[in-house]
Amino acid sequence: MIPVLGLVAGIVLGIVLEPTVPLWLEPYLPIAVIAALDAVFGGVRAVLDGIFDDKVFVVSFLANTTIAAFIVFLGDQLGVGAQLSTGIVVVLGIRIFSNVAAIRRHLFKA
Amino acid sequence: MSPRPDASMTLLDQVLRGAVDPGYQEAAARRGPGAPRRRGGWPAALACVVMGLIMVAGAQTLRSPERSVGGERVALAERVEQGRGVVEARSAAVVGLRADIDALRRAGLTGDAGRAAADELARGQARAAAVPVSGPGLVVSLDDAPSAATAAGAAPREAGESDDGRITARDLQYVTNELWAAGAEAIAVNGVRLTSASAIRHAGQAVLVAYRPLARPYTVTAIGGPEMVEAFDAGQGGAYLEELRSSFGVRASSRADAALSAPAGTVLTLRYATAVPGGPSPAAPAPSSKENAS
Repeated sequence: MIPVLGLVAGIVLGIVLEPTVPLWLEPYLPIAVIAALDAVFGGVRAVLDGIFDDKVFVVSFLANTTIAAFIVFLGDQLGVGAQLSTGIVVVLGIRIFSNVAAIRRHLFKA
Repeated sequence: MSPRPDASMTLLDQVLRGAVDPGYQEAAARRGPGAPRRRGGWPAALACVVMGLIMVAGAQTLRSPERSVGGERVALAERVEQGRGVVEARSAAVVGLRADIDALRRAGLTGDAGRAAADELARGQARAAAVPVSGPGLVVSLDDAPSAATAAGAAPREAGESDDGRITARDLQYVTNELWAAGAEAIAVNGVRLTSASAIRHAGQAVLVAYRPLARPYTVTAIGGPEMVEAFDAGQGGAYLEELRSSFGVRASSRADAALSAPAGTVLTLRYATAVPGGPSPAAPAPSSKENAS
């Protein structure tokens, strides 16, 4: 329950504070948003599966975001930034879809 | 052991089936079956707060470019409107000041030489379209054909499909030339007075009269006697309007009116002045001056 409250609190804080993202972080913002979504849905599915572990949750979120940002940065340096970024979005999108499908199965069948 | 037939698909397999972080499975296995779940502690809540912040910051930052562009346009449009209001106020002030100058000049031109100069000045002003004129005359209304019409007053410089039903500068030129030929004393198009130096041109789709872009519908006000009305309707002008109506579906009409007015056109600037011959008379201290229309 507390993580959900934390999520809501984060959203409310974001709307109220209207944080401005520094310019050098802006290319990584879409990736960070998608990684955050993936972690949220992965966590919800783990809760419904009964195997939620908050340490795994935090570590996976941080690691995913950092690795995704690093891959985008590496791609920018190598000149393939757009393609790598697309690849990351595709993979994370597939994961989000699978997690949401599993959540749906849990909610509407089990 | 021989590789499985679908070994090459392991990547896709992993992506599709391994959506749940295997970390969850391993942690659950480590805890052993039946152990209570480690749910929501503070680390997870903190991570969720950060996630919420990231998502909202992303939404605000990544969405804002459209909003700022729209805001700039609105701000620019407001500045244009403001500037236009200032220009109109100042133009009205100029008209008032010119009337004052005229009155002062008339008061200063006394005596025979002064009166002659005043008469010549009045004739010159009338010919140069420097004074407003009112009287009976003819009003010619020209509007695009309904099929080619855009919203009235829409930006005239936007490029659109060229249609036969559009009023062009040439139509206005022809109509005004016919009105002059019929004997009009003063002509104004949409409130812009035509002088001897005014041109009716087009720039793209817009019609420019004396360098001012005008939007449809066009109202040509010609002040003259009834013979002008007859000469126009019965002559080439009327025939042209009729052809516009029948061939292109353009809305062209003319009607006589007993009380029309045309505003003043030019700005008169003083170019050179000469003293009245015979020295200044006590009743006319101001030297007469020759004025040119600019």
